[in-house]
Amino acid sequence: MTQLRLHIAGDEGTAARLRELLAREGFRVLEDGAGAAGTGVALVLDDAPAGGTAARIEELDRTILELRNLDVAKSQFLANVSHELRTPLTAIVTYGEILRDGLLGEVSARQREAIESMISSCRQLLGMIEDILTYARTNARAISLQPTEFRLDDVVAAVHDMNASLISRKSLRFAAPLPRDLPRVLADRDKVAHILGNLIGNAIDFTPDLGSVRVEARPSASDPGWVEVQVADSGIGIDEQHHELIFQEFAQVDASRARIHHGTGLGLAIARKFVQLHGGRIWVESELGRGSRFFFTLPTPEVVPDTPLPS
Amino acid sequence: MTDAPLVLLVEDDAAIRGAFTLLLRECGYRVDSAATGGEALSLAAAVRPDVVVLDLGLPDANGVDVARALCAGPRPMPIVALTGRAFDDDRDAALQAGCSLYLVKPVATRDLLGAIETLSKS
Repeated sequence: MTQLRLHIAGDEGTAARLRELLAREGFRVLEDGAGAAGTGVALVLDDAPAGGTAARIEELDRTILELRNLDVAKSQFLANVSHELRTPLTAIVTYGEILRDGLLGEVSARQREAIESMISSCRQLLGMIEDILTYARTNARAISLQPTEFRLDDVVAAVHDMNASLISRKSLRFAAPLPRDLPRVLADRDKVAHILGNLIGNAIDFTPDLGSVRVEARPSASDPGWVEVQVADSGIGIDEQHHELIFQEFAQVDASRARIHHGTGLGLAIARKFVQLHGGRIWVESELGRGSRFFFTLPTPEVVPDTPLPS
Repeated sequence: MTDAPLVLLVEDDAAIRGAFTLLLRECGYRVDSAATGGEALSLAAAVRPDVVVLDLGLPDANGVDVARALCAGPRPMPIVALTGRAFDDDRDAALQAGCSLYLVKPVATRDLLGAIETLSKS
């Protein structure tokens, strides 16, 4: 029996299409899982179906190339569309802020409230577009990390400030008791801000009024030289069967939740991608109705280079 | 009122350019604007702005190159770079090219005004 090992650099969507195609062609998939680099999919097939094996393999090669091109084209399209959507929205927000701040004449309290709502909806929309753009770009090209040493509490404070008005509108208790002697992390600061922004943003979104959001960090007990960060909320929680699903692109636990909570379903996929780029891990502990605790790990300068990291 | 600081706004999108121009004029600045990198360089040489607001995503040129060219003269001018959140790589490049500050789009008007005020006084 001949076996054929394929490794496809692409996303889950590409892999799913390939699996479908293989099944249709009569191939049997023996093994299926993420590729070594975590960015692809490796499939091991048993003997090719009756008929010219070489011709079929050639055909598959062509199909893989086509799918890969399609994947890149899709990401490019997403990036272009997102950019085009973002630009006019930015103008709307700016004009809104000009009006709100009374630069074009005095506005009443009721008018200001209406303008504020308009701005906040626009910003929400911009956030979603930003997610799609980030996702498309991380898929369309290799992203590089620019690691520096920094204090995590500075980044947490910045992310908190960005969300301050939402936190106070929902009357949430926000605490981030990071220990003063927490080791500095060696990471890409913008990416870490993005990860924390997505996790804290979700915690706020999925926690009802008067709930709490808490950020903690400590040296990791299981990975020496790493810091473990936790974002906990008292929100609606996530059923265990969905703990893996939520980190996948475009996943929402259910459609009704998506309708109430808007998101694009990309935030956690992006967070996971950025954590993995640092060689770290991200996971969730949660039960329905009992809040959620998201964890991720970041390296400190103590991480010795010969520590085996996922490349 | 010729004493009001002059801001050179470099932004390719007409709607955003219009909004920022209105904002800055209402806040007492003089504003010249350019839609391309080429226009920005010739305008900057002609009018010597006190502050440049530079969108890094320009159609005709790399914004970072434009920043470098603006800073290359004998009297480098303070630049606020506007970058997208998804373009992480641009930010360090912008600072290395000589931009004094960067703001991540979508920029809140208060942040933009704060940055321009800081730089126009320096």
